[in-house]
Amino acid sequence: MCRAKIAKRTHDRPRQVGYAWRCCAIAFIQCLASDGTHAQTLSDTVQLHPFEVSAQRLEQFAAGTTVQRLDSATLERYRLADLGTALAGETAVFVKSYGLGSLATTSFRGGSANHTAILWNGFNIGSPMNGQIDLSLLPMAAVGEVSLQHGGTSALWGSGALGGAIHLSAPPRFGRGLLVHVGAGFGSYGDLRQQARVEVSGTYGNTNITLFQADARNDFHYRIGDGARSERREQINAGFQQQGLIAEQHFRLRARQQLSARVWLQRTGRHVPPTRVQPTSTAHQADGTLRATAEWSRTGHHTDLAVRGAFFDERLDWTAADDDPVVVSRSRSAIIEAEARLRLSALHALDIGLNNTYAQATTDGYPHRPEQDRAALFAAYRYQGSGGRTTGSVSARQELLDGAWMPFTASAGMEHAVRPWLKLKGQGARVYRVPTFNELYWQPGGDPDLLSESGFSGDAGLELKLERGPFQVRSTGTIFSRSIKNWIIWLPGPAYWSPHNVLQVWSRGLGTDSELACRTGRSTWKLGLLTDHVVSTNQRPTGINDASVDKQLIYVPMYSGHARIVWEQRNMTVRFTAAYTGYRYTSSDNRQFLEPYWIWDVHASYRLQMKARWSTVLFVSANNLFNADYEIMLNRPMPMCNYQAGVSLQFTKPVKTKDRT
Amino acid sequence: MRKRSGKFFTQRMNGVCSALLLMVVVAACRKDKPEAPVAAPVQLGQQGGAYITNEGNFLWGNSGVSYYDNASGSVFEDLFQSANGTALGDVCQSMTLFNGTAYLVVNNSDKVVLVDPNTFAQQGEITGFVSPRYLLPVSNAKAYVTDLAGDAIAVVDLVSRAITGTIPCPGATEELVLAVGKAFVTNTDREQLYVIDTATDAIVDSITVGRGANSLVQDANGKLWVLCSGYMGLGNNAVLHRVDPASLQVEASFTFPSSSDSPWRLRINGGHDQLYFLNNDVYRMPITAVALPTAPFIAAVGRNFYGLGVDPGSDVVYAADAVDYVQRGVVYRYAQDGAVLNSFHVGIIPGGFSFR
Repeated sequence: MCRAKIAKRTHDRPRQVGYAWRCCAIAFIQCLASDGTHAQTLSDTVQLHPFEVSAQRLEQFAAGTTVQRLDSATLERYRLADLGTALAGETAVFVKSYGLGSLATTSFRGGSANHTAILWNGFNIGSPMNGQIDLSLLPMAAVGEVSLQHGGTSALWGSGALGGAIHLSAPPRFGRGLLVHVGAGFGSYGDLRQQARVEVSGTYGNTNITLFQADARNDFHYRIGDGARSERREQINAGFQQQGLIAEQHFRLRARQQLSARVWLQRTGRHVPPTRVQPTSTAHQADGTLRATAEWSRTGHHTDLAVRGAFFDERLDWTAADDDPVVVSRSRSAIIEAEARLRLSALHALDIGLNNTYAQATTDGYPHRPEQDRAALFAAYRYQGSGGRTTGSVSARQELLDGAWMPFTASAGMEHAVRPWLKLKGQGARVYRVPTFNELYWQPGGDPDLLSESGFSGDAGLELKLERGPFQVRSTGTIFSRSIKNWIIWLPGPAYWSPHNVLQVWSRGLGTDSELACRTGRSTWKLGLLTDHVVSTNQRPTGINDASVDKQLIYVPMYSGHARIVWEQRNMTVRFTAAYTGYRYTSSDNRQFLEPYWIWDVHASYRLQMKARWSTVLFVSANNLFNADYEIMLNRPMPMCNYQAGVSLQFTKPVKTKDRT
Repeated sequence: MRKRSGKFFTQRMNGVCSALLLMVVVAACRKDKPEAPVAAPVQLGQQGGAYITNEGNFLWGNSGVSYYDNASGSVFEDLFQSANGTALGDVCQSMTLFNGTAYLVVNNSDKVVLVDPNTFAQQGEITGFVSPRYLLPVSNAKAYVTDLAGDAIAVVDLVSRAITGTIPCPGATEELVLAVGKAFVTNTDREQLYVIDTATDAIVDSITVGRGANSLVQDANGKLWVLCSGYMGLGNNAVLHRVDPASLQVEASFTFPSSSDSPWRLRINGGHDQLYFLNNDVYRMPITAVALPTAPFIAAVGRNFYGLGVDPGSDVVYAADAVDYVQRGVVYRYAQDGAVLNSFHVGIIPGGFSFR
């Protein structure tokens, strides 16, 4: 049984091919050279409204869903970190982190890791093998802007978006001139990170490249054992190295057309540390990723068109112990999508599209080379009335998986501003997830006859914005309910583990996000509070002795929240945060659990404007100030008080303005 | 008109806000703090009982040993934690009682923990294994420990409590028994039953058996019964062999009819004349049978039988329901007529039984 579990861990995600780095670097240098000429001579006043497909689908056709965007200051603060760290620090999403630099996955509203769709510029980058993605492998330097969409959005984004979706996007900016940004940071446990970005942005072209590198020993100390038997231990076999680049090229063509290409290359090598109850570990894994996308779009007076494609190649080399053979898992996906948006009138808009996703994977665990072809027809309609105070949208999606019809998915949502300062929201959706390759084909255990998970989700909420004198208040509150049947879990058997459609899960809860800002003289004070209450329970017994019915799912905190105080004065920002994570049960009958914990952090940054074009930011942060001895996952120790410091330097050179209006 | 509309919206807003507030209050009423576990001092009765090894979840370190006391019917859910104030380790695979010591094989902590079977106080531990599974004493001073991933069987000195050597044996070795002065070892990765000379600690022979050999017992006639679970992906059906340990010949083979049969946990009663095994349900088969039993001795009906044991003193059959593998298991005690005597909760993933 244990061996089966070890094997199951080996196929999470992948690595990359060496020559591809060189090819892309050469291509990028060519792009950089050609675009610079535009940047020097052209204006930024020509407004062409490029058709950013995924961004607009999120903005315009998802009325009623709660969307949380990480602002630019937050993105700057986490620029050297990974996405898992940023989400854990800034959002109510529970990030299941197995330790510093180790696997990190999400739990959105009590869902499992593969109930979150992670979209990079509109393409789902979840692994076709296990349906999830390791957030610790997504550096913030690479992901661009981050938006969290809560609630069921399968109709917009396809299989998997049961609990929510994380949108990573980098919309091109034109006419900004030259931007060079370099940053470096160091921290406790041998943590060294660097990143550099060069962007040349003209009116008709944008070329940018981001390079990033991280290296950490993660050799923090923790205690094992209880009472008199406890001893201090240094984390071993926990090193982490990562290098990567993202290169983008965007062209504005005549007749309001835009052409974009992006390449994301990355490799990560890391060791897998022992748990508290393992004496040692020599396991390690290497992940390599190539992600390439291309998009053509045309903006018309009444109709926008876009055709886009993506190719993802992911490889994971897993070694359970030094002497063991390397187990290689590799998956490739090709996505092509065509979309048309019709502005029927000032009030009505329609979006229709076709998507085809082909995936294929190889690993020792599959008896053959499984392939999957999913074709989807989707449509969305938006209405905006009452002088812009009411927005409603309806969307629908029908997928065809290898020739078989998948559950029809639809959603409807509405927002209405009852007052300038108060908006009400509501959304309902049918959601589903098709089984992953591992669930279908992993041998032994995989079951090709597994059914898709499907269910319904609904949200209702209000959004409040008030401004009185020096005070500004912003607050949102959302209640939700979601019911999923045929929930798939892996269960051990006599000889191996296998997935089963066993659970019926009802998740419901309440999330709030509030901030009070006060300006006094040259200072601004902000008080923020983020709370999340999730009850996620199994409603169907697996057998006559099953005590899990109406009990909270394991690793879903019922209560969690963040509070923050921010003080800003001119170029200085100081920020205190306190994060609470409540009980997480480790047995389905809720008898075994992990203790709640509070984590206190402080972060200070200072921006120095040296000349008109040069600026630098210095930052220092201290995490877990009060040495909380905590675990997010059972027996996976987390570090005590630790520090980071760093500096970034930015140079900007705007293009000369030549007004053509 | 505008005023009326505003009033209407205000009333509506008040209604919506009240409804939301009510839902918040209702939702927030759920208490998340679990009940604290009751700590009880370990006191085992003198009338005998059953130790139940609970594997716990792989990498979670929540294994343990439960105890059922025959006389009082009381149950200790976690002896080791209560007696030692610390967790046992990751995946307690098996327990062997020998010469007044209980040897707990903790698979993914790569160790064997020695405890006093009466107090469960830790006496020591043997470390350095790769992925240990079962321990078999072959003399007062020596034991063999099979291994899932080490491609070898460890030779352990029970006096110095150290590994003194290994017997190379590629594949995953599982349960083993001592018969006619030799150790017979199952291996789920090879279609062989290995024979070890306990004097030289070397494999001296092997017997071809079915795929997935996982457990074996010796009957009243001295014969070995070897249960092989088959391998669905390779089209090998499960098979039960009777082997003569002296001549090393397979005397009889009973092939299971369906490729979905995956039997395991072969056990035998105190009289060594009735075989028991799990194949979703619990089956019983006399050693004189000429065919596999067709009807179960105990039907699972909504239970997930994972562990099986037979008390050699009373012939009471213990069957463990692991439920969903992530909560407390339930152990049932059955009389020889199949009647339920009682049932009780134990730790997570109860897999093995030892009797005192």
